[in-house]
Amino acid sequence: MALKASEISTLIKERIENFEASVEARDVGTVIAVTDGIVRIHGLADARYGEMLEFPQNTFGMALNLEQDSVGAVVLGDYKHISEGDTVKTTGRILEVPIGEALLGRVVDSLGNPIDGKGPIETDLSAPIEKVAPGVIERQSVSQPVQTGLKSIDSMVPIGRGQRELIIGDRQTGKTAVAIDTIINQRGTGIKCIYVAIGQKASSIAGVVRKLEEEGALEHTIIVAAAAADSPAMQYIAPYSGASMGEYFLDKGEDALIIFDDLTKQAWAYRQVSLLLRRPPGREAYPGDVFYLHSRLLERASRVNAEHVENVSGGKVKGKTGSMTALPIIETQGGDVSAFVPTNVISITDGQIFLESDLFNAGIRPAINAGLSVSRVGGAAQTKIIKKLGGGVRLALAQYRELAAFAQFASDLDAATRQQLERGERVTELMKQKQYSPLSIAEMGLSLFAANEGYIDPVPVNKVVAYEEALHDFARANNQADIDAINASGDYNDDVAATLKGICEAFAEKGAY
Amino acid sequence: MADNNTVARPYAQAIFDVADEANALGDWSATLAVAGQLLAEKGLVEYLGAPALNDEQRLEFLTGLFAKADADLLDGSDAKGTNFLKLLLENGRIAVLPEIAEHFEALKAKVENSVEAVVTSASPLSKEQEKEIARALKARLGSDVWVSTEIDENLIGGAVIRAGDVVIDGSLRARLEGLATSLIK
Repeated sequence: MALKASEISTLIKERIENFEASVEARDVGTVIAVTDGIVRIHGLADARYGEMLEFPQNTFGMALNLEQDSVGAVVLGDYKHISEGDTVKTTGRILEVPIGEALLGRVVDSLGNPIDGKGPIETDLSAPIEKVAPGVIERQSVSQPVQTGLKSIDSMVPIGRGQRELIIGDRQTGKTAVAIDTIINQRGTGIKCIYVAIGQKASSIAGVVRKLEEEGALEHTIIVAAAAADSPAMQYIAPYSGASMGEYFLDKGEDALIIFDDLTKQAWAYRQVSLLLRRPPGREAYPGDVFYLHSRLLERASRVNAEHVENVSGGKVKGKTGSMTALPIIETQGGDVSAFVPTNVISITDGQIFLESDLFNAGIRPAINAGLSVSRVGGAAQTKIIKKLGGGVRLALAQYRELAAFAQFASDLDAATRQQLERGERVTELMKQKQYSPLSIAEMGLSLFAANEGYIDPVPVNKVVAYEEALHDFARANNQADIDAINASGDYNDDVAATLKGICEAFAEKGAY
Repeated sequence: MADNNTVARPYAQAIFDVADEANALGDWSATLAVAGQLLAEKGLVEYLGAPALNDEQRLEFLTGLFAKADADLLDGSDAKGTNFLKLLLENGRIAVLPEIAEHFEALKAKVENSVEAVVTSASPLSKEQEKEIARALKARLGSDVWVSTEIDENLIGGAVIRAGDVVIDGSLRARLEGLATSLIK
């Protein structure tokens, strides 16, 4: 945006004319110590917990420790210009972030300030970052699916709207890839996505933004970025800011999907803040409230009923339920899920997708461990066709794993066992899926049908991936109308079975891979 | 700093109760103010900490000092005052006397429902202006106000009123700073 010099002076003139200086009584304190982003303030006897404090040079902080003679606060942003003796004012406001449709397609920091160079965010709405989760009366059970577009997840660990499903695994096992694929698959579904990046490399965040832009998925996505170089306070509040932005859609009777990537780093940031505030350390040096840190955040992901939406919107939106689905990510060290933070978050969420580095290195990507991954509520929300066809896949994989261990020692196996092994091998192969290539319900159903009904049994194991791809191409070329019908309804009945059977048989006859 | 305050609070409360029972709040307030000022003097606390002295010698030294400085209740003539000093010396807390004086004043102000307000202005205030400010503050804070004035030419114009933690900044400098931040935004 280029401005002429004369335009600039007009703008400044306008600003000066519209400037209103108000004189008001403010509670003021004095900085007595600054240590690593933590400020100890004398005075401010009336400060409230979590209140925004104003430091010199338009810097803000948050009051976290209210003591008899002093207040402990974290500075949000740079703190190098704050020195002993500076005055600090209370603002009377709890920390707020801008919310609304205007944020879609934008990259913002933890306070909702744009950091993508696309100009200011035009919204009048704002919400406090900390809100109490919807109560028992306002909630409704999960009954609609969130399609991730990944065969292995949608068939074995389905996710429903309003569910909290943990993605857990070591570094470099494709946790973020699962999340990004899920965002990409929400194109055209009306689900608004919020990707909260906590403590990541700025280059990784830039990569994610670029990829979403390429895939046309940025328009329905808000990115909240607290990079590794940002202050721990910003990393600590980023998920709450993102949740407030998501709740805007929930309260409007729409569906939102929020990804916290990742909560391990948020817990580290909070640990740093807590230790510097001299709160007593507990297990692994985390403070006593690290469970509450995550439980209060994830409780905000919920499905609310139509009455709640009607009340919140002032009667404008009627008969629509709202939801916010959360996919928190946790990074484990050496596959240890029994560390403090992983066990906490596992117990809070409604299931987990467990990614393993062994599987990842063996080329099975997404590297989902089918045995340890569960979804406690998603089954109720699963699309009928996937539910019907996916059950067989889970069973085949479970039997395969059991037999594979025995089969290493046995030399000659009976026909049934060999058949199960062969099926298992192919299903494992079939569950592989390339990154950034989500599948529609019909495509997924077709693949699962081919596996269940034994159409993949004659295919050599190393050709299964090619077979599947060719099968999808074949169906798209010859049966586009059927595919559209299945995608629209998601039902499974004899007609659909007959259609799928027809496609598979025609492909076996004419198709090549 | 914060630690000294924590230590001083119960001592101040105790001596305040003693003074209140004896109906001698004003005397004690004056005495503690002088004593606190003396103890805040550089070198005195270090001298008292010398290992060569015992508590009796320290007490003798302090009562002598306070007698000269007109700190009436602590010059050895008042039994309670002497006991107070002994207690402080015994517990090694003589250094927190300035903070005790401060907390004592705060407690006194609370009981008397009075607030000390400092008005900083760019140019000297007239008597009428001072009275006007005192009246307005009394209406606002709901307690008696003791106004003291200071001059700070850096404010350019207007005045800043400070009463405890509450600050009312009506100075020209603050308005200019506000304009500056609104332009940067």
